[in-house]
Amino acid sequence: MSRIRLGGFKVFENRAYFSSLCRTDAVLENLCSGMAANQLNMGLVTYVTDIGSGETMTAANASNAASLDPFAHVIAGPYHCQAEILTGVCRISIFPHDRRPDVAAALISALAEVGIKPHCFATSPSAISFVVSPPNIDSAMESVFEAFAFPACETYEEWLRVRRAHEGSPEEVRCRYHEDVIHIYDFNLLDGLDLWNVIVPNGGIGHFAKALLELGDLRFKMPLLVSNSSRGEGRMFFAFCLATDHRQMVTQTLNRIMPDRESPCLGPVSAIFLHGPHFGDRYGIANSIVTCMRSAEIATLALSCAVSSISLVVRSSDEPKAIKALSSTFQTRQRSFE
Amino acid sequence: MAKKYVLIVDDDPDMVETVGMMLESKGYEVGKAYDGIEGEESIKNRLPDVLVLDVMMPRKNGYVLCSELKKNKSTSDIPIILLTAVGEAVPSTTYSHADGKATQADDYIPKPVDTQGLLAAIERLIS
Repeated sequence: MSRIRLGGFKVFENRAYFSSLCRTDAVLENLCSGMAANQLNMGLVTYVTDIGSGETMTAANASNAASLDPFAHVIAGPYHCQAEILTGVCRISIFPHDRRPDVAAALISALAEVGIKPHCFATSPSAISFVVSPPNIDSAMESVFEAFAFPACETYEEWLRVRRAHEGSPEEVRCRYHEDVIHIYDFNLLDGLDLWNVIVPNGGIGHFAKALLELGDLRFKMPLLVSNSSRGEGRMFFAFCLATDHRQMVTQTLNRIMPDRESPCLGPVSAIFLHGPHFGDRYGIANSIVTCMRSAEIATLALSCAVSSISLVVRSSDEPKAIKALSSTFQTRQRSFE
Repeated sequence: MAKKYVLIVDDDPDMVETVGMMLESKGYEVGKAYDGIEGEESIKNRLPDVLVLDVMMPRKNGYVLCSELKKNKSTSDIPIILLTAVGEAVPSTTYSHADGKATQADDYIPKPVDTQGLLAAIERLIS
């Protein structure tokens, strides 16, 4: 199979990863507010609500375990959630995905073929990020190069040689500048979407990739994909958005390829994408969004923070209220949302 | 009428995507590259009507690429907008506004840039 040509990739090694499975959405708020209060950056955040059971899964990827450790203890206490922290993990981002389901499918499939189940996936408007544990990092990168072609390096080995010789691993930056109103480059809003949930057992991730591949063949656009997993659970929660107009075809595809899986869908929903300077390496940005949504009494159905964007999904009926609330927290240099 | 072609070169893929979506919605054809070398290769294949160029990038930074393009007869007429976070936002940077002016870029927009302002700059240079 020919490789899909992409623009590039980024690798952040030796990070910490926190995940929790809960029946409360308080974990996301507590995690974001605690990290912001301690001026700790999160390079990646995912949040998924299972439409069927009401369970929520929250995951974060940060620079070190010490920064995440307090939250696992807080969460384990009052909420009786499953929470875990992993260290030494690697966050890999590939771009651009151009909202093509087949790009996500190629990635998930390539990893599944060598038995790798990433801890989570997250998307930004341009990139797909995923987190893998130390024993799988080399295999994951080799799989990425088998599925995709990049202009800068032909193979993983070549990239390793270049990195050793010149650049080293990129360091995450913690910016400390403060803005009373957080500036963004711009925001994008997509409405008329469905939010789909698929819970896949570890052995079934390849089937999910096959479904995405077929949806990609139909030229459907998938502006958001997030997933979380809990080590003890043996399953992975996926949430993704596709146009409501495609609901029937998506249902048929999922039912045919994964007949034993329930795939609830909620719609119409809207996806809001905020992109700002150094959003990927400044503390407190995710907390600003979560706090903003909570203050406006808007349920966040899914959240994905990756690269330098934050993407969130709300019910379409909440969209005007969400835009109004966000306009008080974020603005472009010359104009607010309104 | 053929669409005007704008090449965006920035190592922040979300920046490229956000600006690209905005320009496509305004009727521009958009090319994308994610570092200076890739941008250079893209320009060899097709000359853009406007080049939007980030400064701080791996492999070849925007100042170097801008200077090279302006010194080359075949590319010196390409209008170039430099984007960077130098100055107030990232005071620790080793680059300065003086460096930017020395490259002979046609416009110079500090980050965080608002996309409407960038659009106005592109339209001005194309016209």
